[in-house]
Amino acid sequence: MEPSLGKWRWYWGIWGLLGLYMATWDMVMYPAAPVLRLFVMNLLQNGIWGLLGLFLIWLADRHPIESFAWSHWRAWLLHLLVSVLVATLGLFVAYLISLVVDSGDWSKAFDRVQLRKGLPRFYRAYFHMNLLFMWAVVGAFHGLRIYRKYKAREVEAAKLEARFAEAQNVALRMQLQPHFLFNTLNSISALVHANPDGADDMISRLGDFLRMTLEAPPDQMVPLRKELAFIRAYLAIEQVRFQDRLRVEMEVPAELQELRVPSFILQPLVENALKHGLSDRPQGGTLRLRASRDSEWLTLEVQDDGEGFRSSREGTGLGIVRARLGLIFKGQCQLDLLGVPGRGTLVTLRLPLASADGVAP
Amino acid sequence: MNLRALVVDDEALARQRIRDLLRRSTDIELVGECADGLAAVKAIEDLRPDLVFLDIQMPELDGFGVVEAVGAERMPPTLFVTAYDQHALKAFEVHALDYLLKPFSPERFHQALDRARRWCLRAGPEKVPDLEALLASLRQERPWVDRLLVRQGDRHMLVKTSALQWIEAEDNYVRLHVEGTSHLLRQTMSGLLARLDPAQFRRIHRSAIVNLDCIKEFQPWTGGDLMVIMRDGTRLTLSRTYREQFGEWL
Repeated sequence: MEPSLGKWRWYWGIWGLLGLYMATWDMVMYPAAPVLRLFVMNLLQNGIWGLLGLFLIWLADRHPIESFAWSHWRAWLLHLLVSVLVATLGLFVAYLISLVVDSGDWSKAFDRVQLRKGLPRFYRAYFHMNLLFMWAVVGAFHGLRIYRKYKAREVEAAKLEARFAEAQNVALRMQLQPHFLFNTLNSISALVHANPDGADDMISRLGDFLRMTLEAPPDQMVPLRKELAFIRAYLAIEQVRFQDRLRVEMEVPAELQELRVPSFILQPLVENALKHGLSDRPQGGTLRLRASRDSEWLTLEVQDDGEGFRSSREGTGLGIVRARLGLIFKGQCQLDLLGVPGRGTLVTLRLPLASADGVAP
Repeated sequence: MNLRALVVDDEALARQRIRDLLRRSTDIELVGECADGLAAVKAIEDLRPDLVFLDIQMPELDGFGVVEAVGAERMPPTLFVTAYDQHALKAFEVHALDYLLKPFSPERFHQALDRARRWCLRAGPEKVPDLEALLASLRQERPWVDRLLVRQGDRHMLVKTSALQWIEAEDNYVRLHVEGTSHLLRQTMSGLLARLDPAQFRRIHRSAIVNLDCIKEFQPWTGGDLMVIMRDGTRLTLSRTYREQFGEWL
């Protein structure tokens, strides 16, 4: 944790105020004592408590208590023991300070007899309260820590939502991408005359496609079957437009259909495959979509047999896919691109099954 | 007089649409259809059509690439067809060019065709569109090319600029050195240099441009010149005049 100067000002300010407060307490308890001396003593003592508190914070930062679960008994025990030790040590120093300030004389203050007599009384009077202070420090540290975590999570969630909205936007734009839409309409106007049934068919495919984009689910994860239905609707239109130039092969075992994947995640990959793998080749090509799983991963592959991906051309679509994956899975997933010049490109997306198993496989 | 028309579009259905509409005009003869830019360049040169319907978005060589490859001055009157291309549309507006937006109605198609007819017959107040000016303004948007069209005998080929190793001046031509082979291109050194991405290509001599990715090392040479050794072993000279632009490294 990187504490800022402002936070430390607060830390010492609280100890200072507490010192002043305890001085007034002493003033009530010992009305005869000189006021200045009580203030000096209490502030010095609280300075010591503050320093010891820093040690507790340092320790808590290294070994934080993560939960109330029994499995964390080590951390609880550690902090309990250390706070007892620290309170004992602090009280000893505080006692010395009180002796020095009281007598104003070092030699007298460290008189053994005096120590032996006064110390147990001092401990009986103050130990429990000071132990509470130490717990308060540890407790406040953890409270702050949880608050920060919560804040960070909130920020993360907001980011995630923004990214999703962006991806959804991109998807909508792609689907309603002017090029795509107008070219499709143009194809339909050709079919109307030459092949009225084909035109009919194309219109209903376009309808399916537009409906799916409008019904985009509000949540991030959708069953694979939904994502694939969406890809199919998109490809159904592209297939008419590319005619015999686009061949599509899908290999998705039935038992994987209900596994959950981030919605719209495949579409930019398929779009890329068409753009770089197929549309740049007059003779067209084959697009392969495969899904498989092992014990830990759901693997999705998008493969084209175009000219082969060049890393210098990682476009915005892929960038957004990476960003979304990073936010959803926090590094617990892989997106690999393998381009072989002249042979095509293979994009492999590996998602952790723990997140994909939202619905029983 | 019959007009001979060529239709260029990578989508079969889009070509069919224009073919169907042209069938209603008896004075237009469809002489060919092309599915990509490379084929279009060849067809325009071989068939010499009077009118070209040219799609802008196409694989490899797009519509503007076709115009550039054929040469704006040798390009027949052209009707551009596009689904959506904001840059192009802006340029068309600036140069008062007629164009077809997909999908188009028969009425709109024939209106554009009438105008194109007048260009071809030089029988109207409209000027034939100035393709040279159109290309010049498009270049401001997309200054650098990533492919060059070269001719080998009567074949046309596209060479990716990233595959160029170095370029040598040869009279009125430039010689493009690509792995193991070379191509002649009718172009001046400065004209070509203007179309190449300066992040990748630099002129090192009056008669040489290099691809920076293909340089292996520099060695001191005589009189302030440097010897440039390319990855394939070719030795070139970096003359003092051009050394300045390597200041960041040398």
